Amino acid sequence: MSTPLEQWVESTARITRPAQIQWCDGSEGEATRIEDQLIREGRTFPLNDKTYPNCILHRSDPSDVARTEKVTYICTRNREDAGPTNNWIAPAEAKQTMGALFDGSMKGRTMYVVPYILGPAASPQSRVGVEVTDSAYVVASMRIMSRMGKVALDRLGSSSDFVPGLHSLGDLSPERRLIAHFQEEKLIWSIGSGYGGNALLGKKCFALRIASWMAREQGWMAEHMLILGLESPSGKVTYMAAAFPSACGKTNLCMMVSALENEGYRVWTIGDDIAWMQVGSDGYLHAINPESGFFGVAPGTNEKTNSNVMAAVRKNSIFTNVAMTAQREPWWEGMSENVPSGMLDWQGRAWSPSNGPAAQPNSRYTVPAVQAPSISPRWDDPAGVPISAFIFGGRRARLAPLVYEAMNWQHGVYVAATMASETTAAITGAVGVPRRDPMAMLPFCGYNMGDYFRHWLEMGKKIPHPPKIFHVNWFRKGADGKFLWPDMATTLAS
Amino acid sequence: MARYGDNARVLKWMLERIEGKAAATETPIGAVPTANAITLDGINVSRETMNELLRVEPADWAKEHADVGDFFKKFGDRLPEEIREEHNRLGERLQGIPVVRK
Repeated sequence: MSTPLEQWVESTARITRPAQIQWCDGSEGEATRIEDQLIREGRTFPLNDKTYPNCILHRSDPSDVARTEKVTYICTRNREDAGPTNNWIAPAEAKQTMGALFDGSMKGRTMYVVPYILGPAASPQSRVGVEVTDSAYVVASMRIMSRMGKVALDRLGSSSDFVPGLHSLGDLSPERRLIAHFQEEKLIWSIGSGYGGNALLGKKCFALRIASWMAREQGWMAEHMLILGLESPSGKVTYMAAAFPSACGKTNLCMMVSALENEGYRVWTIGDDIAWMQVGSDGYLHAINPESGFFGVAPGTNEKTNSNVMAAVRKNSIFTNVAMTAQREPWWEGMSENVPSGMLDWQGRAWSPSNGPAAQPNSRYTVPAVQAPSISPRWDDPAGVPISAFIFGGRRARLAPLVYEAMNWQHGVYVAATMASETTAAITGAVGVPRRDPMAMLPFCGYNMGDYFRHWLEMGKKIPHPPKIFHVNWFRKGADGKFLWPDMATTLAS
Repeated sequence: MARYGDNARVLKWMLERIEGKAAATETPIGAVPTANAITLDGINVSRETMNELLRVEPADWAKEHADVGDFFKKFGDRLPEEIREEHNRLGERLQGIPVVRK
């Protein structure tokens, strides 16, 4: 008698017709075999054994270097439930179009079945997902980014309580690339991309787009937020969650080496991208990081901007689309003042400035969270951490002060719903156009955003001790066009 | 030269607000730190720069308010009443009209 999971895997194999099916257990032995497979495929390279042990460099197809929002769809039954901020196709139409693309897409390939848990393995707030994929790179990445393998199958047992995700590289052609979320079924289909949030279905697809739908249904919150702990001289740690649009420094903030460390104020890292939060018995919102790794932008990362990540990535990490030095070490723009000679760029060519940057601007590191020296002792706590503050922010050259506090929850929801970031202007001094990105969730909200604001308002009534809400702007400029707040003088804008 | 971790000074003010220990000045958009509330020891930021960083200019915010009004149009009647209410109240505060909270 087969389980719901086995039945679903069989159904996907009937469509995609893989040469073989491999159930992943998440073990070290399997990870080594997957790495060997990746190297055999010719787009992945082992890095310096001594200085970067157990690290690999992966080069993606040059047309496949970033998430593609234009072909990402929220396929609710009714168009209005996807709302004005999402791309929508009717579920039946999406299944027909994508069904044709998935037809035989895994012929001659291995289908990997990747069961995973989002969140601490033992937490009641965590959820099980299963991705079937023909990409060994996805398997290797999911092992870092989630609790993958036997631990997930053990938690699932024979129940149907998992979020299924079907993924295939297809032919990697941008015209045949589609990512669809079938919300009422809590199902993800993704084809034609091997990259990051398009292919690691646990990340943006499940942890935000599907989870925000589930959270609204079930009375919790799934947000595009970092989680940090601020320790004060008394030793007490106060936890805060912050949402910023892309390129506003979430990873660097949650891992910062505090300028006040000598005075006893120290920052601890729980997560850098996504927070799942539920009201706890103490009346506070308790947050967990559903991920177990950091998938961060490499260019601009260095000892000054993020010494914790620089230490973390020295082992057991995957680098995607960065450059490689003659010593087989990773390199990217902003890592060091001097550019090493004899490098291969992200496309494997001998690097020359006329070919553009050595590392692709969206190139990444994928690193186990536990390796960051700043990782909080509570990062894997099944009870989550109690949140005392929400921080929202964006890049505003003139408008917003360094920091302000909302008057109450309702006002705070308005502040979050109206946050915006200016596009970086080509001319110094000119102010870019503000792009609205409510709660930094614009690309990730799994349903009508108006209804999402309603959910925030309702949650406020359910939390006995709600977080205070703040808004920050690290990017204000003076009349001379220079940043006023010193931190930004040492950050490279990406 | 200021180090990267100076944003911790802002987090410290937030912590003090949570604990009820820090002073703030009310503005039409919300509460900002008072002039001395953010620790500036060891950082190269003058009083003048801090004032500039904390300034709230109602004229700039009036422009923003109009832009936000435009943005809200796309949500139609799915925009919650309470959000509309906050938007209107902000508009009144920016015009210097005292708002009586229910």
